[in-house]
Amino acid sequence: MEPGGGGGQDRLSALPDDVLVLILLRLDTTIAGRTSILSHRWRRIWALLPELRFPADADLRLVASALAAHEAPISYLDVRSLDAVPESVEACLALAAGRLSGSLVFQNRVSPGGNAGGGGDGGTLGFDLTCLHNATAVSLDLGLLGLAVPTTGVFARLTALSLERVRFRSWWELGDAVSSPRCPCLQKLSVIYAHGLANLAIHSESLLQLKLKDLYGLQQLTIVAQVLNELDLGHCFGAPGGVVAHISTPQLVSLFWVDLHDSTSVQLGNWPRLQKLTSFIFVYGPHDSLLNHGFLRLLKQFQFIKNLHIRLVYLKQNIGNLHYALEDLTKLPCLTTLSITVNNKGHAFGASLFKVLRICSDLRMLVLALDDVSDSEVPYACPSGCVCEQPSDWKTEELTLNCLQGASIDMEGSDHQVAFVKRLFTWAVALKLMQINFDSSMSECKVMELRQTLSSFAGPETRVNFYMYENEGVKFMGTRYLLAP
Amino acid sequence: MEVDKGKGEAEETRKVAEADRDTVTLKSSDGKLFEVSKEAAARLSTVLAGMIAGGSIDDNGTDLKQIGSEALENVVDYCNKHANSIPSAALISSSISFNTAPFKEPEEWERKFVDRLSHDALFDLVEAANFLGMERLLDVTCHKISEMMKGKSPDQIREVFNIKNDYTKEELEEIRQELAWAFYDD
Repeated sequence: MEPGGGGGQDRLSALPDDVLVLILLRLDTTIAGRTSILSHRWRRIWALLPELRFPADADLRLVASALAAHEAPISYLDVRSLDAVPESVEACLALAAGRLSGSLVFQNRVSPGGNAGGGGDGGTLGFDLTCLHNATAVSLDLGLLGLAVPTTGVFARLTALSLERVRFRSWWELGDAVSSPRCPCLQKLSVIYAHGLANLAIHSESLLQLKLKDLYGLQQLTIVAQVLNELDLGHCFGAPGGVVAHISTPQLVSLFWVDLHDSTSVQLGNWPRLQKLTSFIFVYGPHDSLLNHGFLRLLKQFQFIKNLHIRLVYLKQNIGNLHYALEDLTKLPCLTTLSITVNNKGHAFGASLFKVLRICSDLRMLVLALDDVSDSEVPYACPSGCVCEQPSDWKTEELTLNCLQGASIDMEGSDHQVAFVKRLFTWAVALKLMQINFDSSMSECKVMELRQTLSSFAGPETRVNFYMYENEGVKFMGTRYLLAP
Repeated sequence: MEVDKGKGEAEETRKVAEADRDTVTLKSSDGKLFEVSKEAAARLSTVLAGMIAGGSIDDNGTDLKQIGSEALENVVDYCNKHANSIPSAALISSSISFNTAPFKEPEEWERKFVDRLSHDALFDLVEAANFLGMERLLDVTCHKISEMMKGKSPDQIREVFNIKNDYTKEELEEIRQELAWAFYDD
């Protein structure tokens, strides 16, 4: 576009205010603010913006002056700061609170040399959160700043709350604030990586999704949520001396559980509608691995689970002196679909999958994600004679999976993976459809070669379809497309 | 079937036939006529949707006195192209989410569509989109204008858009102080 276009007329300034606002909304708020210097026409246009964005490493004192000068109601406020001081966070949020009627996203990134939580005395440095009466969604990632949750006031319109990397300054406030009387519409709550929550008691009539992960120092957990659908619990029960937990969520449909489970102190209630359980097991781990024991104990509670998803995790080290935990997995609940993600880090995994499949011979649908090298790092070079090769029964012993009708396998084509798929074809005598999904990173040449090899394993009654994931940055995630036969 | 139709009945039949047409005719301020898919017009423009629903569409060309023929041709072209394009999956977002972009990025063909316009044609199109209540076209054109502002100093922006600086020196100084938060790295 040529400068000074339009025959010398100022077409831009002639547009109505609401159109100018639409244009400025697409700029960072700081850049939008600068347009006030263009001419009188532009003096207060930025102050009408309903959405304010202060991107990476914003200086909170400047954000506070912008908020003070801004006039319109705010439907979206996004602030990303670096090494924030608690006072400035408090000041910013207090300035926005009255006018905020939509979403708030606040993130405090801590630089490598920065003071996480504002110094060694962590919990004492923090700020008081204003009650956000009209906010609908709030996400605070505080970089371990201390936080005092308001003890009075109602979050009347809040439907989603996410708190990450937070030091709670007192242990009783959070549960009270997010429970029904004070958060009557809350549907989605997640608390991730938090200190200071010794006792968390949530009583909610509206909550649908709850995620609690890495709650350090938790001693007592109560969840009473009548309509909760999804519960995601990870690394919350590790306190020395154990955690007393009481969980009553009768409508639960999906449970993600990576935690200890001591049946004397953890009461789980009944889950008659549970459809999906997700957990993981360290295939080789210490004898007393509490996570493995927790998973095995939890499994025993169920007679039937429609979808069970297990992640088989191998450690990236010499596993020779560790306990083979799958020895202890002798029985699975009745299943319709079994999903297994294998994170083998270069180890042979055929024996472990064989062991699992042998105890669910009435399986109808199998979904495998064979993820050899996680995080696309250099693969772990498994030493020759590694213990993972030792159980070799899977290569010779027969197994009949005569109910298995469909299988879907995400793979990249390592030798371990091809060898396993070959065996699976011989076990699954009634298999009708096999879907092989290749990762987007694989070369065309490799894909061609694998298609030929894998097709040759299938019997005449099995249809094999090949798919390719579209590159979305994460392995085996997102949309796939069918490769032409 | 009746052979003999009364006048009223014939009128009725004509109206029904009109309602069944799948295009509408629009007339620019300089009297040129354009045909556009009725479905696309109703979907993309709240104003045209209102006129179609209210029966105020004129078969001989609905007068749009505020829009010149060049802009109206672009509007019609946009509607027809939009009718043939399939929205990408990226436009469908979940209900509760913190980080979704509050507005939709233009699709590749929309970008090209506005990139080929002259300065005046772009602004004529913004005004037409605003007048006709075409939210999506307004998004696409505003996106283009914001792209033209990005990375430019106030002086450069004034030059591109012919904005006359009508501040006094003292006023400029005052604004800079008041909006120190926006000018901190100048």
